[in-house]
Amino acid sequence: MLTSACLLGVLALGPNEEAAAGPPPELTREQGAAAPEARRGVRWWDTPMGHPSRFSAGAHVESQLVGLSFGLRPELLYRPFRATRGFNLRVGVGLLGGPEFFYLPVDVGWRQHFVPHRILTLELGAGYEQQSFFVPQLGAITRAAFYAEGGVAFRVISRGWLGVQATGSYAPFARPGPGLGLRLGFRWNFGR
Amino acid sequence: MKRAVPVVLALMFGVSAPSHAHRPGTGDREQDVGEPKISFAFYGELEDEDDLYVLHLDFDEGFALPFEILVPRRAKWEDHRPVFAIVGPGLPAPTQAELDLLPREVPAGAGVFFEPNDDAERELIFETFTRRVFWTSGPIAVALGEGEHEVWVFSPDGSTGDFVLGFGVEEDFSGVGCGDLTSDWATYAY
Repeated sequence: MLTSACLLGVLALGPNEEAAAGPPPELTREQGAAAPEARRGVRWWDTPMGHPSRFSAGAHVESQLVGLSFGLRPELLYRPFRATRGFNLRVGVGLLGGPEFFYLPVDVGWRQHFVPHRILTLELGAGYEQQSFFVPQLGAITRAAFYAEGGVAFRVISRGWLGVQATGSYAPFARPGPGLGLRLGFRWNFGR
Repeated sequence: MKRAVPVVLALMFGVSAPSHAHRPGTGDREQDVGEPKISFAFYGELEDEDDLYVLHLDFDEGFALPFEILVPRRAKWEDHRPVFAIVGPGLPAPTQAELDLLPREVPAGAGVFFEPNDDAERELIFETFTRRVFWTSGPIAVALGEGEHEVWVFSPDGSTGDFVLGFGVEEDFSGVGCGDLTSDWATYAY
């Protein structure tokens, strides 16, 4: 485990595009007063809220281990603050089938990409999940649950990451029960 | 978007099929149940026509306890009909037909409640903890008196396969750790 942590740290300290670009040029007081537009250009809200650079899309193949099912989990990520940073709001939908039921989870939550400009990033997230099970000869069984997820992603092309994740969930209210799944998939950053 | 809203609402609050949650467990073919009032699901497998599981329940006072027996919904177990018999004080005397089916002699002074699990159409349920679908005999509450009781699970027609015996009323999942669930996961999982 220590070796893995060291390896992760070494890989995380890989090429840093932001550091290579150097620090932003500083303005003198007179220059800043004379060109306020230039100073405002470095603020996160200067990127329009609907700009493509704030969005990422992902598609994963997922296997649920609690209640056997397999399928796809597409998702959409949105960065409400800095478009180049790792704080994301997430919406996802699962389309999974198994020998006993069809499973349709809908997620709303948060995901953090640590060191998002490195080759290898760590991903952690959590949120709310509405789980629906469609069992032949039974009606739809739905329940509210909460999920947590963690994984790593490896940048294979300039805006694309290949990653693996583990996700756990628990429904604490009516019809309680846990969930556990594994995902493998690809994420694409739009914009820059 | 207008059509999506009612669909989403229907998924969130839609008609729910019967679903149950019991504290899961496995064990030996003869064992004591420490707290029989706790909602419990005992997983087992009848491996041959003479196989028998015996659970010992001890009550300090009389209590009406619901019981049901379930079979995982798999095509190979469509004809698998395990039954259970509760043997103990205060229960009615068994009929001759029931005595012919019971795998053991009934102790003197004890009566029998017998669940034949012979409904033509068995009810289906979705067990929410393991996300499994089961045929069920349907829960039935049995008034049990103070004292020691035994629950016998067997298959009079000789069918073999998995079963789950559910009983109890109080929801209590404390003490059910991840280690317990993962070590027995092959029993609970599909």
